[in-house]
Amino acid sequence: MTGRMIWIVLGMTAVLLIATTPGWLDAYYLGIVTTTLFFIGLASAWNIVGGMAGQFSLGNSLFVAMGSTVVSALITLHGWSLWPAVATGAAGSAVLAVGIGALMFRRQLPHLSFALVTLAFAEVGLLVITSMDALGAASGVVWSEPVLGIVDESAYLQAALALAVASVVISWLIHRSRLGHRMRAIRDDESAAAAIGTNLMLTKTLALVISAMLTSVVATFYANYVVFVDPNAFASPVTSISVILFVVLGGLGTVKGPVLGAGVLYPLAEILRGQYGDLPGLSNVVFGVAILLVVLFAPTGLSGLFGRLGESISSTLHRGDRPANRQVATTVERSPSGRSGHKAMERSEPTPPAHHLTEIEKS
Amino acid sequence: MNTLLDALSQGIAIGAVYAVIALGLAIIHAMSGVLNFAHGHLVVVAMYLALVVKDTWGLDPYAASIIVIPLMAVLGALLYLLIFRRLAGTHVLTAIQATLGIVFLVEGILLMTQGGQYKRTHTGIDGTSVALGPIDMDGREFVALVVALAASAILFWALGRTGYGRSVRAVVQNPRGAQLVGVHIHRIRIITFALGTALAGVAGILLVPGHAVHPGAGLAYTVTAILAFYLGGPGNLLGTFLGAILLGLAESIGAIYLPESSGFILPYLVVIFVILARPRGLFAKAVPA
Repeated sequence: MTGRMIWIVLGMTAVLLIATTPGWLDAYYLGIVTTTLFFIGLASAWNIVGGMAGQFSLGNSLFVAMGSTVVSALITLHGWSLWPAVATGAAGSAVLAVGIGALMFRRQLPHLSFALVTLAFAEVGLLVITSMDALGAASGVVWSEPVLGIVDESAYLQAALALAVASVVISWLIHRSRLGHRMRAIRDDESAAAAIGTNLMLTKTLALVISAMLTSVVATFYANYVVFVDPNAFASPVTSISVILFVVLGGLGTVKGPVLGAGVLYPLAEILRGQYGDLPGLSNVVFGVAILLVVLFAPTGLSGLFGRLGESISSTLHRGDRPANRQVATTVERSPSGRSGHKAMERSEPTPPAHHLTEIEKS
Repeated sequence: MNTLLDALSQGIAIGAVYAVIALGLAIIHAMSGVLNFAHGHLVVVAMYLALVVKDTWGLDPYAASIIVIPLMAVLGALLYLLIFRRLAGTHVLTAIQATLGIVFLVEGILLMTQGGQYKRTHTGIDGTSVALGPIDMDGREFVALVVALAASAILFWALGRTGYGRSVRAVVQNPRGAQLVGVHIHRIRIITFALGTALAGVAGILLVPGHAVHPGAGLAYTVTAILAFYLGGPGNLLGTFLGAILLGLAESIGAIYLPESSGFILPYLVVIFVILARPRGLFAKAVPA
């Protein structure tokens, strides 16, 4: 329990500190903080389906597009008012998510199939948006006026902060709820989860729907903040993949993982980009190397790393929430190499432990 | 009628190039169990290498292949030794995350060294065409078709008929057993990674004449290759080849017969339909229980 209290206190301090930033940060850094908060929201939302339920969706850009391009088109091109448009975006995302769930979760498809079909859906979504004039087509949409009467930077920061906090709190509530336990059971072993009476299709679809609606709402405000809604940025799967990588780096399936991942890496990349503007790819290189290092050497991500640090300082501290915070990589690992890819793909995980194959190969 | 024939010939030509990319991806996957999301970026690396060689020595992109393809093979071996070797046996999604890291790394390096603008180049056979009965094919397309088919044929021959191919199949089926009967599996894996990346190099050389290059262009090739890999049924190389041809055909037929950009959607619709109807791919082998 103490460990959780420390995180709550840390989190609240951070929220209070961020809320005061308009008072002492200049506009450039304020912009970075605001965007980081939006990314924390998006990362937390993806983590619900991708991390907690273990359904590696590469199609989150569909929901980002729904919240950004569709909503902004409804408001600026078709004269809707804000809240009906936001609600329509979220409802549209939910409908899409239910549709994808109904198609994909009918039977236990291999994990990679889900990742691929959602990626294919995302590409289709991008193509549909860039070819529909009613959605601004390839030239995108420019917001005609700020929503909610938000005019200055500090109001945007507060909106972003509220959304980020809401996403994290929703993640936390789900994580400790019955639904969250079912989601993790499915992630760790679908057959076992089904055997103890978990409704696989319902649980996975719920996870996807919650993630989709949250993503859509955060995306609306992010799009309004950016003003120019370029479909190649908002509806492209690449944006969603970088959100996914924030979560991976922070720690999949944990509540604090997306916060740490997006909260540390986005500002880092952005400041690198600002400092070394004449070397445009540098932030990508740093990001790529960071991902490789984390995946190869610290598979539990930043939150796992911080967790272990905390443990080494005081081993009593984290006893309460350790088991719940384990992530996919640690629970399901080390299948016989070589064929392992096929095996892991064709069956649901976890694969059986290795037969010391790796040791033999090294000799 | 002629439109249909043109669509078919173009579709098969681009599909054959996709097949070379997808086959490289597939043999790397068979060897390591890792689906390399950076494979398309390797194609783009080869395209940039061809441009650099052309700028430095004035070589035609096709002639540049003498330098580019061996370099790509070395790159593949290095990728295996530095990264993929350590991923053996990890969860399939963990390994994908690592390859997404390579995506950012490669894209960043290309941006730093080559800049973010689109680049094009010319070859000695621009504007020529080859008449095949009623079909007129663009010269570059014809070269792409012939070379891609030849490369695929050589790969199938090497895997099916040579000692190397026998070792590869042994390692894929049972690494431990292969090792017990004296296959040097470490060496086989290095060679196969080099081969798979060299195939990406071949595809890059074939694509560079007709396509604008951009550091971010790789993901589209990766997606196409992975979709072909899935269409054909993972683990079935002939299926991968046919899947890629099918995607090429869907792309060209969609572009010619469907209105505006909605034609680009056709390949994805084919894939979504196939994966839902036959989740293990069109030509999947019977799965042992």
